[in-house]
Amino acid sequence: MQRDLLADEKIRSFGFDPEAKDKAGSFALTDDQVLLSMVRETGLEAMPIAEALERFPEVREKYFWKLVSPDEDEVTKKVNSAPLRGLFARAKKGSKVFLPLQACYILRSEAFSQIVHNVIVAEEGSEVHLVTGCLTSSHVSSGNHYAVTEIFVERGAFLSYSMFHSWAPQVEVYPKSAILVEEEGTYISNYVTLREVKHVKAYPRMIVRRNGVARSYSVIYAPPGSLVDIGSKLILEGENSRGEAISRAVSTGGRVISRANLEGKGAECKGHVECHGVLLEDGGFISAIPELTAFRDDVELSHEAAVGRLSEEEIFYLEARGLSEDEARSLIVRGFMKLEIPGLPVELKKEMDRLIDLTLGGGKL
Amino acid sequence: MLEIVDLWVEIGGKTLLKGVNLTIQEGEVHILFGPNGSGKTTLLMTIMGSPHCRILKGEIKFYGKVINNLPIWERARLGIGIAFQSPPAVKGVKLRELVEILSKGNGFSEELYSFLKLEEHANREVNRGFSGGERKRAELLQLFAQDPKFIMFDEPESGVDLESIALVGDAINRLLERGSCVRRQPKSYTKSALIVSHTGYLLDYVKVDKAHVLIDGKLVCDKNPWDILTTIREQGYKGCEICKETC
Ligand SMILES: Nc1ncnc2c1ncn2[C@@H]1O[C@H](COP(=O)(O)OP(=O)(O)OP(=O)(O)O)[C@@H](O)[C@H]1O
Ligand SMILES: [Mg+2]
Repeated sequence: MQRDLLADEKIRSFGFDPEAKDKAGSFALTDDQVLLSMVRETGLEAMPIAEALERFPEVREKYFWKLVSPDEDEVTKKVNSAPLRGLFARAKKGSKVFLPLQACYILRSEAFSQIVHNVIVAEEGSEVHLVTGCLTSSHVSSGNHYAVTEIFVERGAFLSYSMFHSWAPQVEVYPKSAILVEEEGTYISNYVTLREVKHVKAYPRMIVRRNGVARSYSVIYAPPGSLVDIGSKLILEGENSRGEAISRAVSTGGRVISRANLEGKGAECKGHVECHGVLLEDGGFISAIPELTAFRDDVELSHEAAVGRLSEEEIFYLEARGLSEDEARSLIVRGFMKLEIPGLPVELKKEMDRLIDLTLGGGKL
Repeated sequence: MLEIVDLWVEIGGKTLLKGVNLTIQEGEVHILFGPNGSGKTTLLMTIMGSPHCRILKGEIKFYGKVINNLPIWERARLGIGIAFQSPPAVKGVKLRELVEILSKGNGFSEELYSFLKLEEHANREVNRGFSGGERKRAELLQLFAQDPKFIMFDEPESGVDLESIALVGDAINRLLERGSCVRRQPKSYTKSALIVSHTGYLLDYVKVDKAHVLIDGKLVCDKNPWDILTTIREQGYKGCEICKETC
């Protein structure tokens, strides 16, 4: 039965590879059951969070509920009171793991509430790429996913975290994430949601220490019925820290709120926000909400936001070359969504582009 | 190939073309002069089908077929091409990607990137951050990929350094399948062009059959291009107006 589930077409089409040929490891949670947990690479650990708490005392001492407090809000309270499920992943000091570690959260039973707590650690000088797919199996149309995720990028480490979401129309998703980027560390968040979903609300908080870098990318495709409210808060605490929040939103009738909040606190820290949204059809909205707060005179924060329709001039230009209006629009929208993400492994970038093509290819475009 | 009869066009409430008549035969190259703001770009955009150019009266025929109401891309697929005066940047679309789409099954040669000095631009977004001259060359590259039968060049040499004008001239000859040195019977040419120019520099490189001047919304003259250029140089466009009365 487990094999059947992993062979589910939707899951496969979503890029989860049950054989995990080109993956450093795999973790899968269906409803509240751990379906799979394995690692291939030395220097990398991946296991259910409950097991990690039992085996390693430092998990509780240093990481568990350390970036987020259990009574912070409704989501954290729910997670704190539910049976403990979730992923613990850790790249050991200095180990460079170039193949991605895949994690998959599947809603399999109708109207199930999946509640998880993840802890991800990139120890000093390590490199790790995590890719998570969050999805419902084909026959499920409703459910909830609540998650607390605490991410630690230790000194000089590099962690990329790509989230590819494919929920169903009646699913509500409330991830609560907090990230600490220590000195010289780099964190890249890559959030992609392409299918109809009732409500996603995500607002990860990233604290960046001296010479650290946090870059947050989101690609949102919102069909009618969706309400996607995502963004990030970057607290540039350390001297010379860097932050970037870039989002691309496309609405074909869905509602999108794209937030980005930068706080410049460290000496000579720098940050930039870019929120771009296009409405291909009426019925929804895109709201870009950039906020910038500088606390010092040597801080440099900027933002660029534009929402509205596709450029008529660009469409005309392509039509004059012989592309039909639909072809021209599709080409521009694809280009718009296919963000350049420096530091992301090529295969993840390819996977992301493939999912975007799948999304745009299926619809009117 | 192209036949325009009594064409009246308004743009933003202003009538700019007031009875344009123009016939371009297969294999012919015409050059169009005219002061700034006289409506040269408007004429080209109307032929291409820009929604901003409203046709009040008249007909545009391509191979005998009235194309007044044809969508832009259908005109392009019939074989009409244009090098824009100020091409826009297309965000998120790489030059190479667009060229590949346009050249599907066209026998486009990779060598054209180096011919047009655009090797380093292939993987950049179309026109984004391109210099003035690079944009002009990128227009030519796309036309090679598209391979139209009738090409309108809107000031292909403006903003191009003197040395590169020869390159633009060569490229136009190649696009029109006219070897610059090979002498062939004009009849054997099948591609046609309408070139908008202020300088006439291209006349040194491209053999032009006819020249026109657009003044007051009308085309005056279809004399020898060199004579017109001399008149404009010596007397300004006023000279053309006087000439209009006499000819
Ligand atoms: N969208 C528009 N709305 C209003 N006026 C316009 C619009 N587009 C063009 N015009 C005006 O129409 C006139 C003709 O413009 P056009 O671009 O055809 O001139 P041109 O002959 O190509 O000039 P140039 O030699 O400077 O390129 C100009 O006065 C211009 O300002
Ligand atoms: Mg012009």
